[in-house]
Amino acid sequence: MTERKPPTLATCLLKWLGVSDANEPLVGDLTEEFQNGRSAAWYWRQTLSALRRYLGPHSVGALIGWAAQLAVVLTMRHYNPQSSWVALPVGAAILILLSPPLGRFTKRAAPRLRLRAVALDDFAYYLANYLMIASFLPMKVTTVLYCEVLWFIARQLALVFSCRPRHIAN
Amino acid sequence: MARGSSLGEFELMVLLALIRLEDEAYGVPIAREIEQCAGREAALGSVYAALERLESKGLVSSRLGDPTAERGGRAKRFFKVTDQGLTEARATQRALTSLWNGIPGLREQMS
Repeated sequence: MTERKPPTLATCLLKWLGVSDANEPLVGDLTEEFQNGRSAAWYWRQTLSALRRYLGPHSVGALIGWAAQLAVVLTMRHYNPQSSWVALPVGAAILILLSPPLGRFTKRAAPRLRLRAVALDDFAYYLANYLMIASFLPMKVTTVLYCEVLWFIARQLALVFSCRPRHIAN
Repeated sequence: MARGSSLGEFELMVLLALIRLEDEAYGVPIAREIEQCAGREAALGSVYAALERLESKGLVSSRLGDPTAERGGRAKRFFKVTDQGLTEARATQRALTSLWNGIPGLREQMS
């Protein structure tokens, strides 16, 4: 039997954006059904449905988290007007790229222990933020810390009000 | 219905499909069972989301199987109804039957 290849982009979206433990088995199920004759349109429908299902409940938290980050970056710019505006899109791109794998790593590292997972996630998240800030917005350490505290509070509020699991709300 | 827990419509359908399949089952047969019995398409993502909720309530348990080539080297996740899940299903059945019996007019219309 000739093996058919499922739509690559749909599979990448599932693997990249999927934040659930069920992600790999779900992709496997979709692949199995596709090999058994389901169409590419069916595969895409299932993918979009799964993404909506998993990401939908977290979208409000994600938006709040992003708004908080934007506010903090603008605050930092206020403190350091010489900094480059390039930092904003570059920093956002870095966070977008880093967040899903960091979230998946922390979820795998402590799948059953929420507190440990959250602590690990927060550590990885703030390490990434710090690297971004240190790279693109050179300023006094105390100011960075001040902004990080603001950032932390905003993010935790966003998480408390909207998100489970925590690691995709940024 | 058991105190402290409530099953949504789709969760109940997934739980019943799992009970009907008897042995351990994974996403594809569960979705097919729902499609056959309920006559509506069940998205695999929705099935997994419901299974995760059921697992968090302690009504089903799961384990990962071995990866297979047909699935692009990905493992199946097998689900099984727990004793608590069976108890919850029976309690839900009793509650729904009791409510249903209280609507004689609708019963006559249906028959």
